[in-house]
Amino acid sequence: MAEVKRGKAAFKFCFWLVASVALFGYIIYTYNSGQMIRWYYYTASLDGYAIDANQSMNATKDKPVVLSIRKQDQVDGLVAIPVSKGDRLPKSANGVISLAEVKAGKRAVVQGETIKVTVPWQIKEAKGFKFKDTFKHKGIRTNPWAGLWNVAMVLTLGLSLGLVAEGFTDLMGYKIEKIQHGH
Amino acid sequence: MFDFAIAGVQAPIFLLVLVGLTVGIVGGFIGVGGGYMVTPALIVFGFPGYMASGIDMTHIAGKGLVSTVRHRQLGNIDWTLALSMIAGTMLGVELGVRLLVYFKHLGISGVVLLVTSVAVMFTLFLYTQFETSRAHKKMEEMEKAGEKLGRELQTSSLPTYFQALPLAPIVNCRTARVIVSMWVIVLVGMVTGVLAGFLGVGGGFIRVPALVYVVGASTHIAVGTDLVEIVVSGAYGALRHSIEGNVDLMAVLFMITGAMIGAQVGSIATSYVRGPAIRYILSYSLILATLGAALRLIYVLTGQNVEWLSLAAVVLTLGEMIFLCLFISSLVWFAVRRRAGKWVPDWVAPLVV
Amino acid sequence: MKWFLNSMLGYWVLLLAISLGAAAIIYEIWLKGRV
Repeated sequence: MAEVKRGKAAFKFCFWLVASVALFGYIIYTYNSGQMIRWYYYTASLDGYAIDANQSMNATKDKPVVLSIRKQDQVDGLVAIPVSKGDRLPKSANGVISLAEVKAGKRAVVQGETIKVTVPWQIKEAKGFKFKDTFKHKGIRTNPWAGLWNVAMVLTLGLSLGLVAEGFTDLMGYKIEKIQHGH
Repeated sequence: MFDFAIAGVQAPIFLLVLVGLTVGIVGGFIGVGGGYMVTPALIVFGFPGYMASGIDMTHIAGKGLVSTVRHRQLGNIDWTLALSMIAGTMLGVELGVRLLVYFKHLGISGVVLLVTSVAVMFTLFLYTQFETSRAHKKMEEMEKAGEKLGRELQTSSLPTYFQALPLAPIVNCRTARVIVSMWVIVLVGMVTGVLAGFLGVGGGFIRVPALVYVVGASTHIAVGTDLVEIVVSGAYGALRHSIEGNVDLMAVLFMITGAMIGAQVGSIATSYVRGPAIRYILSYSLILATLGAALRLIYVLTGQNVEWLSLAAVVLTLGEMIFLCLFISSLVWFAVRRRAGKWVPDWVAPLVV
Repeated sequence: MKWFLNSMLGYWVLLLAISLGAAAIIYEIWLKGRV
């Protein structure tokens, strides 16, 4: 009887261990291949210019970063690609400078065929702690199916990790007895 | 250091795993999501404020499920109670989020949030600490008198009142051995949900005391059952946050790596202690979280100028996580020693099994 | 020293001191100058 139980425990442990490792691997693969990032920076949520916010991170009023406005498929270097609300974002874009922002002219200004970025980030506060709020993540919309995928991945991972552990303690012969409640 | 392409920060992997581990231990033991510790920690690590909440909620869903699987095995989940609460909880969270948005339009949400957090957590701390000390004293007297101690002892008279309310339908929670009106359960879910949605946390540290002191469930059942709610509300929160673009799944992954061990340790640790021990840890987490929130409130109110306040809040937030894990581990260690017949401090003896 | 073990409050103070110390070290090594 003990042998059958051990066998079952071993199977449970191995099965869910393989499932967990496979899930981890799949998620990491999705990240490394860029798929996760492409789902995240999916479409533009407003009209403006798609940019790589990293390029202008160190801009200042005295040393602004100049981006050339061009229509192309990919943000490579100091470029700003015009987008309308709902357009798919160009590759490598991670933020959108909105037309409203450019009209206000405080953080970025259009000059002919270029955009001059002078204030790339601001200090914001959440839960009593300060953080840098940049152009990154602004004006972008993620793929809603990616949201569902996130949740599915996390729940499946949680379940399989929980069952690996259950299989492990069963295999080790660690006795888990149900607590009898009722004061 | 790992380059998080989605969050747009570089953060140390070790710290993310450590946070997952410590919050996993605490969460598995007292039935909380741990968001009130994790979100500030993530902001300090460099994640933008909006992503800190999203990453936290998503990791809570996964970690909560790990704990739930173990608590199910331990017999700490009353499914009747859990499922009855879900609708109330979800509605409550939605209302709480709308309340938050309303206050945001008035432009005073940051301070209002911190003040509400401090008030709620401090009140819960006072009641929980007071009741648990009374229960602890009673258990010490019972042990001295040679009486056998059960797994739970609770000295509040609130559950008797709520269980007597004759509002149909009346529900029989078999595992918890509680018979109570469905409306009481739904009310608990709704009130805790509103607070959770408004304060932006999982709600465990409100729901566990509510389950114990209002519904009258034992602490172990409250912990296990609450974790089910946390998985559901965490998954819903994770979905909403993901669609808003607030989730970096790689950060979640690193945290779950720590949480998968932590959640096991915390959940299994509950089988080494009696109810009041869990309530003590819950009250400690409440007072430390209150202190952390109070420090941040003072920092914000003084115009964010007094830098050492911010530093103190960071150290307190991190220290709180480590403290709770050390205390929980101590309780297990003392339990093992007592089972082996070795010496343990007098105050520990009635708390462990 | 005995008070830190024999009294619940003492034990609480002892663990909190250790934890805050560890947190301060973590802050010093990894988090200084981040925000």
